[in-house]
Amino acid sequence: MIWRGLLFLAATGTCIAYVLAPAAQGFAVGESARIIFFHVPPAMLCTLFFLWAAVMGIRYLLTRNTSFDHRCLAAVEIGFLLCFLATVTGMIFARQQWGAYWQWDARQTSILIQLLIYAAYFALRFAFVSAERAAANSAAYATFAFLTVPFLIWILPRLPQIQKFSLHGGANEAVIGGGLDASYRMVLYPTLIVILFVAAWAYRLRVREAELTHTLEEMDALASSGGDTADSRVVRPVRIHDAD
Amino acid sequence: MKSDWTAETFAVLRKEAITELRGRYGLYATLLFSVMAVTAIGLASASTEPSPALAAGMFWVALLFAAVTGLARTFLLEEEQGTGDLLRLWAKPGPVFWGKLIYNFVLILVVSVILVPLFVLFVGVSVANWGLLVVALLAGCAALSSGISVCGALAARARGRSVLTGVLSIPVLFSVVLLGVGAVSVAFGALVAGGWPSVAGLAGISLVFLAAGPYLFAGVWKQ
Amino acid sequence: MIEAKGLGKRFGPRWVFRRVEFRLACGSALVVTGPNGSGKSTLLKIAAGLEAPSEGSVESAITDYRSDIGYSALDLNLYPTLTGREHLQLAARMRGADARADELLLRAGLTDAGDKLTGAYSTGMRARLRLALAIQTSPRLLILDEPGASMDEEGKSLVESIVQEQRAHGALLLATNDAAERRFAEYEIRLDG
Repeated sequence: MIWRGLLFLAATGTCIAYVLAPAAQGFAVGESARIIFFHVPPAMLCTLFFLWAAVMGIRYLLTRNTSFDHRCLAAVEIGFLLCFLATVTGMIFARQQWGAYWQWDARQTSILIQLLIYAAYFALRFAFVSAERAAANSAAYATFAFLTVPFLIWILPRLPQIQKFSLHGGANEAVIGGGLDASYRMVLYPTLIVILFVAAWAYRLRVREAELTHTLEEMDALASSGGDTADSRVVRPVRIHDAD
Repeated sequence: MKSDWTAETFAVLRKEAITELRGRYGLYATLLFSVMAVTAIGLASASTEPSPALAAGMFWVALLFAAVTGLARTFLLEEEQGTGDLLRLWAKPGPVFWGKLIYNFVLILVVSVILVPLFVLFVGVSVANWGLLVVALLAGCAALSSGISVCGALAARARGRSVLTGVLSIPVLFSVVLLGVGAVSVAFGALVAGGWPSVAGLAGISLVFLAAGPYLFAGVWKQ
Repeated sequence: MIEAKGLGKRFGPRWVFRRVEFRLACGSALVVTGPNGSGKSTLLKIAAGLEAPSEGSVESAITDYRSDIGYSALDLNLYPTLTGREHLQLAARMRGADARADELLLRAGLTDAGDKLTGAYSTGMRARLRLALAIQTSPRLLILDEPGASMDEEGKSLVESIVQEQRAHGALLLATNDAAERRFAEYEIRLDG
């Protein structure tokens, strides 16, 4: 309970800081630079959740324990949401800063590819009738998908055919490396932590919801098959009598 | 132990080759598909002389779609015709994955070898650096075949498996396509840097896919 | 040999069966009966390791499933562009076993059809080839899903001789609703659906 209160206070503080932060210099519309508080943290954190999904996917494949499947699913869902937020805030900012929502610059390209890769996770997951098959295949896909993420983050932006479109380089320097850093960092890092906690909280709730649904499904099915709980319904071999 | 593994992999590879040659429709359709793709690209760009970078992009789009339609078949067909359980009963996952992967690699290599002269003839590109092109195609085909083999294996037992294979493999292979375009555009004579580094990237992705692929396949094969 | 503990299988929200328990020793046979859709085939697939159970577990003394398990079922399709002999050879290469192609084709009454593509086989011939493949390695556990279905008299006696032979050296798990085949075993598991 206490940590929830603290989280609320921290979130409120972040919102106030968001308003009080000075307008950025070196931007087309200085005020618009504020959106990076809600753009950079989701972009960074979605990768963290995708990594977590891959770890949970591997653990599911090794143990076949359903609770790892629930975690893998929840991590992909939260990661996907963060990735989507980063894409949308990025588009709004790009419109303000460079005049167009979409420019195919390196970061935009790589985040769009991540979004598509993880959108496919849901398509795969819901294409199976058997829950065991759905769990195993989507766990393997979550692992496989993450193998391309380091490439998208570190190598793709350095490719010459991509670099000539790059817009982020300048913006990142102005905000993170440049003169504005002191005041912006003081808001950005706490925001990052607050969003991390909110996302982790949502993740935990989602995992719990999935576990409860799973239990409920087992009980529901139990009720429909007679509502028995005792061992009396165990199906065992019986001797065949020739008279039958 | 090692020789067993090789013999089993070779048995799977042999089975793929025999069924393909007797059935024929898969190989033929894939090759024809790539010819159609070049024709479409040639028609679309008939009025202009495409730049090396644009030609490389078109080349990779043709190769990607030929791969997605042609390579996943080795995995999808087993489940479509209900023979997947035979392999699950007879073989270990490793040899099945490697046998099918090697078959796929050879198939897409054949497609790319056919695509290059077609591009030279109909799209009007000229190859400036043959060495780079050959190495880029080898590394690119390794990356394409390993990536699609994993995605095909994951989608093989799902509903709507053939559409799903495309949905899974195309975004995963965007990285491969970007690197491939980087390398092939230099080979086609684009005056930019990054030809060989792109090839190194392709080789790196192939190695990552090949290292993870057999384990992921083993994880989903018997479910 | 093989022991099933609390097996259950669910497709979506529907449980096909739950809490199935059995133990099968070498030299014994167990028959699974029940109406269509009661999960007989699914239970056999789980025992063969082709399908994962939704709950429970199968424990067995089997070390290499490729040679220790023989399995035949109606939905186990053959490669239409391979011949009967090629099936036996391919299976042997993957299993690391002896093909015994001539012997098994003779036993299954397929000597003349051995070099024909299975796409040209009749339903009964395909069923015989599946049986030949299942017993290729003299498996410790033989799993047969309705082996006599679509078989003629000769085929049915083939099934019977295979069953007798299997019980001499291993265990047998059989799904059937055929009264004659039911008598191959002393114990039965009845799935009600």
